[in-house]
Amino acid sequence: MISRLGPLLLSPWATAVALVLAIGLGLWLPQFALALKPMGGVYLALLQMCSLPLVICGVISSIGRILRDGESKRYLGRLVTIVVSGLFLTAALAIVLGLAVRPGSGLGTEASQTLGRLLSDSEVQGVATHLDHKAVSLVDFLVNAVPRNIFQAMSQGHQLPILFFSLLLGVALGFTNSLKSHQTIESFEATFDALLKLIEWLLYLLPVGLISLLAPQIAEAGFGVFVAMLKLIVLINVAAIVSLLAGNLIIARRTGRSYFAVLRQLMDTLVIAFATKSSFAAIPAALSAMQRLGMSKNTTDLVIPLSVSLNPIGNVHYYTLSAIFIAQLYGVSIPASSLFILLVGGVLAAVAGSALPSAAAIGVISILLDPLGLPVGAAVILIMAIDPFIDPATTALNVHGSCVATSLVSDRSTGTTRAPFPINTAAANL
Amino acid sequence: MRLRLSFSGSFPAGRQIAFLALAGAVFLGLTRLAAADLEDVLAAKQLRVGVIASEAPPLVQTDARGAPSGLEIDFITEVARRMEVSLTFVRTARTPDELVAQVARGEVDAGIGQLTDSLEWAKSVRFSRPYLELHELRLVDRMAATRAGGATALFADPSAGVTAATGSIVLPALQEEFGARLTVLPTLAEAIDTVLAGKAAIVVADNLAGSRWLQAHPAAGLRLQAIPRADRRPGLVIAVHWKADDLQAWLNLCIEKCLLDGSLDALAAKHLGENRP
Amino acid sequence: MLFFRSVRRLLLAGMALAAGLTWTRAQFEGPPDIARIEAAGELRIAMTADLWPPFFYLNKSGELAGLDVDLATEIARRLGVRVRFVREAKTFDEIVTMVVERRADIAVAYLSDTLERARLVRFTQPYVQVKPAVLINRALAGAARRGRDHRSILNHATARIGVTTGTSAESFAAADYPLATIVSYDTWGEITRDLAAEKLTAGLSDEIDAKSWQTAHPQEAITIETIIREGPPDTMGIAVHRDDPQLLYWLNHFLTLKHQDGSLRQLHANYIENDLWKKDLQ
Repeated sequence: MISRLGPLLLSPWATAVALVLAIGLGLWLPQFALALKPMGGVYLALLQMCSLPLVICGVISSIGRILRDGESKRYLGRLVTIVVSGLFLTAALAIVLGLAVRPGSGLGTEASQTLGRLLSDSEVQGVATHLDHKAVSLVDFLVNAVPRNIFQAMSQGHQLPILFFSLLLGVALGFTNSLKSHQTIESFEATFDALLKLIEWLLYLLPVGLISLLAPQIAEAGFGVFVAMLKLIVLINVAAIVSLLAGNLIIARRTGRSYFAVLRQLMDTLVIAFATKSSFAAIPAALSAMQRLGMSKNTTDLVIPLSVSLNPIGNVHYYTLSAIFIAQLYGVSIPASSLFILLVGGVLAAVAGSALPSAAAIGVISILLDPLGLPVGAAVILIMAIDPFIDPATTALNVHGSCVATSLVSDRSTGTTRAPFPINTAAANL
Repeated sequence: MRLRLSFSGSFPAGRQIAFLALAGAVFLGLTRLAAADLEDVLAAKQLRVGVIASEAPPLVQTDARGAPSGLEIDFITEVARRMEVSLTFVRTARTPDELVAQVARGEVDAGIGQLTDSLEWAKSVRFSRPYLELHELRLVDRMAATRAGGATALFADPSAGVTAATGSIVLPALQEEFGARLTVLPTLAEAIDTVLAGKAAIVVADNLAGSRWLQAHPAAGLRLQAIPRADRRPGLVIAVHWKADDLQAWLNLCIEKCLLDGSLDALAAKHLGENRP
Repeated sequence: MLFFRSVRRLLLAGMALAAGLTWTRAQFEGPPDIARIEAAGELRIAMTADLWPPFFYLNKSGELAGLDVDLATEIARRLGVRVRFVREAKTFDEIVTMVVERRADIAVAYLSDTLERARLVRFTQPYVQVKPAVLINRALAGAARRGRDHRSILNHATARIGVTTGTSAESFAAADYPLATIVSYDTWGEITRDLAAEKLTAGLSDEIDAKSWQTAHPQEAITIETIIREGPPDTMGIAVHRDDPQLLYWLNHFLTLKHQDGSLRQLHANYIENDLWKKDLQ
């Protein structure tokens, strides 16, 4: 019976049913939905438990392998180009959409009152913490990328320092050309595979996990603010979906599969990202999905984790469209000279914000707002209020965008996903 | 000629008695007009309390019958009850300054109504200890604050105008901090409108008046950033004549007891709801 | 006769009325002490003729400066009058006399609010406090020092302790070291001289004197030990005439506000904890 149940649970239909159930429960049985919250917390914790070690092992082993097998030169250049162009193209799309749709202008009286009340209530209680906001500088960002204590960084789940360390260690292992270093790479890879198996088991529970994660969120969401900022919420979600569907085309072409087949394979990944709002938690599913689509294992294992942190195109929509909303709300015009600020600022804010948890990350919007002379304190409170409505879709786009990047960087795998272990290491020079 | 107080003679008895009575009444009246300390109040079994004539909900209001009401009125009523004297309100002072002058002249025994123990007023009257602490609420034009580089920078900027309402409890500290930058307007609504019109950048009120206005005009929250100042806590006090040491001491003891037994908390809950300090 | 009687009555009634009115009119006027100062347009501060840095000293421009000067100037400003420093007293006790005899309105002059002085004038709450200090001649205190605290050494029949006349140290010395011989001197300089010459076992003052002496004579630390005493500090208050109750109330209120906004703390830091003011010293 389990063998029949298994594929059923993994099918997209199960996911769809779970989604509908989650929304229904959240809206009509909120008390029950809230009671499910601990279960959702456990599922999320299980996913995250596997993600972090998996990313570390994956990055170390893959880059070690890449360097050892001499493929690196091609990848590096391609990766940088793809990341940079991906970010800027997305930012340009966001700007065009924002200026065309104008989410922040023409706010009705009731909407103004709802938003005004939200701002006053937070500030009068003294809850607003971003009163005199210190702009997050790029220097801070770079300094924070290097972990003084890798174990501390791991225990606190700081993605960027962990990636940085894993990369360096993998590079070092790749350059060290001894039997032991190869064995170490292999060990990392073995651990990686084990963790991946764990994740695959967890995916059977995805429908249940989905309900217990999503339903409480819907039950808790404040709908007054939802209505007031409806235009912005819809715009960001639409922009994310459009970018996602466009990106899917690219993956389809590069993998040689049909559009819907690609989407099907990535469904689990997208659903996890959507429900957990954590791109890291979705990485393992993305890795196996890309491999099933036939991408080279080494590339996938390296590019996806890197890209999630350094190429978060979902975040670009999030911050750029929010900034345009604020500008329109306060009647500040955006002349052509400011477009450049929006473009570059959007990209910088997206990258800076990817490393931080969403509550702290909202502060990076000051990178966009300060040069434009817009009030950061108000922006933080307003955007945080609609975060539950825009984070899921943008997180899903972040992960999907990494898959797109992978498909562009990697060559189609020719069947064997693993190069045989070369005992003769003479080939391993760059 | 010896001076003899003799009332016999040409004046009829009735008129003499009337004359005596008149003189007595005038004298007594003059006595009562003088500064009353605790024993005078107790002897007369009456506490004359001066209240500001203006409306300052929820501290001082007027009820449906035209009598004074509100938190401060309820409190002084309780004080008079504990003193076991009757209470008379004299509600002619239009501003707190006028009220303090009334107390200083001895026209009333005590003054209440948005009074705080400012140094300037302490030259002419005595104050009880504070019985309720409010705090400053500053409303700042968000765009002006962003241009200045933050609210703190805006407070320090000499070109940023500050407004407040006449008789507001925050005024003494504000005058000390802002001096010439401060413009005082007759009502809080006018002070805020000045900021909304762009002629000033900051308006300061006490947290009660400020949050009341914000609740009545929620859309303004988009334009005005509300900054509560926990370090500025003007307290509501009762003013007494500068000679009335005993009355001041008794009031302090009474306030202490009201704080301890929860009656002030009950008043705060009743009038201030969730705004209670 | 009839005419005179009615006039007499009228006169009596008139006098009674006038007396009543005058008396009530007196109630209508503000507090006389504040009114007197406002009418004079100046606040007279009693101080000693000697200078006592960092409380009051002459700066490089020859003007009076220091902690007390800052505080008194602020008080006068808040009262809306000029400040005038009356430096006539030869001792601290004489400052109190100046206030009693109304040769000055108040005293803000490094004046300790001792109980003896409080019999003659009213003191506000303390506005600053200094820690008491004792300078001990190591040789005279002798080998008996080992393991015992300075109090037991000094509270001994053979101990000779120097204090400056008319200072609070006089009363502290008598109270803290009843068995010792207390010797009164005119100046702190004489005390330190005799201390170095081993004519005194110890000299009693506060951290101000002790620190300035230490800075001036660093080499003497070999023979003379300085102890900044823990325990009750010496508190300074503003002295006010007994018949000026509203002025006293107002000054206390002023000091409370200055406590709350941290400016008293700042004064203490500027003048007692730091030495920056010395740069301005003549």
